[in-house]
Amino acid sequence: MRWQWRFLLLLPLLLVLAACGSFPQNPKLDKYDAKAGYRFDNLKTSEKNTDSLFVVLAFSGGGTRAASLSYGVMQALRNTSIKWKGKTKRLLDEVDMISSVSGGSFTSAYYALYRDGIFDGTYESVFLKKDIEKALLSAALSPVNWFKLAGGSYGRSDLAAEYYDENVFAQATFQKLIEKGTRPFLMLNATDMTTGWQFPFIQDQFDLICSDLSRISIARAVASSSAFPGLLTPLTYENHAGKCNYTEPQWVGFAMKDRLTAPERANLAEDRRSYYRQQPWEAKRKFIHLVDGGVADNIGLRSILAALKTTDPAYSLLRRINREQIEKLVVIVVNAATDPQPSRDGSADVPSVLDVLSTAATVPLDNFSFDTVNQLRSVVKEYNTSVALRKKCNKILKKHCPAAKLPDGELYELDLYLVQVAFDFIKDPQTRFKYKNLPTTFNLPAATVDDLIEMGGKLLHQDKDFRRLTGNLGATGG
Amino acid sequence: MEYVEVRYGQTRNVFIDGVESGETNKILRVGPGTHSFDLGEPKDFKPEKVILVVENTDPLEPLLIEFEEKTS
Repeated sequence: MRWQWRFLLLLPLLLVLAACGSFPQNPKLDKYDAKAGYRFDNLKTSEKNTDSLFVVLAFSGGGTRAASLSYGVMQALRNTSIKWKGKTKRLLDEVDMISSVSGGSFTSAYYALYRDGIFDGTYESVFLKKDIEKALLSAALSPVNWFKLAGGSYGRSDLAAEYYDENVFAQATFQKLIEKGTRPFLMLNATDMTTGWQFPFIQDQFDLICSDLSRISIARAVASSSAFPGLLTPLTYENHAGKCNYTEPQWVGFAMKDRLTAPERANLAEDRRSYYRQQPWEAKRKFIHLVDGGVADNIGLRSILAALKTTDPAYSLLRRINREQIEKLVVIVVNAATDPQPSRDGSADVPSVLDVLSTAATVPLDNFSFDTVNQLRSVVKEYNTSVALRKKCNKILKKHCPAAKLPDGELYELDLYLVQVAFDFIKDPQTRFKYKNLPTTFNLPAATVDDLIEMGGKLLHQDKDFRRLTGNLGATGG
Repeated sequence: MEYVEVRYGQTRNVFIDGVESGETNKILRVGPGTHSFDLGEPKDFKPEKVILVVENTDPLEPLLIEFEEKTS
């Protein structure tokens, strides 16, 4: 009888623990306000961080490997002193936007939150050089968490989010970033499992589900961005759409008519409407399930591409370029992609199911990343050739018909730099092989982390466009 | 990328899809597709707005959109 009494006494506690086993609610947005919340336009420029020199960073996924490589790039930017508009400053101070996925999101979020504090050694000890996998496993093995995990809407990623919240991001919410009020604008990207599109943690996206991003923890956003399918679980968000008087931007309505002329734009508009304007025959989206941002785009570049190619996003760079606010635009892509050499080709055996599934999951992503970088290259080329073409025509006109001039107005000339940091650019084949065979894990030896940090800076300084940029800005250090 | 020039007798801001996106009498870059163009406040121009599909333009032949002063 004694155990039964004990059970009865423990029952309320067990019920409380089980009740905790549901996902933390994302707060409802009471009233949509296009000018409030964590938005690019709400972060001010200053003498220290101008619009005229506009620096964008894109950090890829790849666990601690990606986090360390991007950290190395940030260190190198901090150590690079430049002269711009008569002021001497660090290139890091001119960073305006960071878009990241998965492992890269730890570095971007930590920097957005702590700024120079990222370099004081704490980040290395609480994340880069910490065995995060062991810490997450210990949390999962704790009996208290078994009850939470037994709840249907609480998964291993929720547990990871709690861990990051306590141990890495000190319970900070996006409100902290709003209070900072200065750039860089942080875009932590997850993937919406249903639409397959990127789901950036910015208020413009949370407007669609009438949710207040300012009260969501940065740790939860990072956990969503890095919820690697299979190992970690998707994270659940409640869709409060229809409760905040949201007004969709004009372009969305137009884009719905653009299926033939601009299919990508039409798809994006359809994706946005899937949250708040569903047809009666479509399944209701009461909840949104987010997985690793790498599923939609493993280098965090798609948002930047859209911002460069169209005037549609709230954070459009094209709009700023048209308004002649940007003189030099620098896009630094930090891609920690690897190409591990499998042992399968040494044997005639049929590859295992796990091997096949892993190949099916990762190869298309890698190919997509390659295409994304190529798209960015094409966009940069188009910016440059459009101006060059007009200049060339004017030159020919001047030569053969000195009084003539092209009939239209001027096309704004922008000085563009595309900087790429990737293991592909390591010159020595043996060293390249070593880096391209590093595992994707949240537990790398400290020496490997140090090597990656150093390699980040090395690859940055080796890039041709970065050298052109630093040359033009009279840079020193690095 | 598409190219558009919004022409008007004086320099004014150009609003693309309701958002300030450049100035008149300059070539502006836009994504392909349907867009609305107007000159914002004051509404002393006509037509009130132009909505059209922007496609197949190039830097040498931007799409020309003309506004003129509204006479009361």
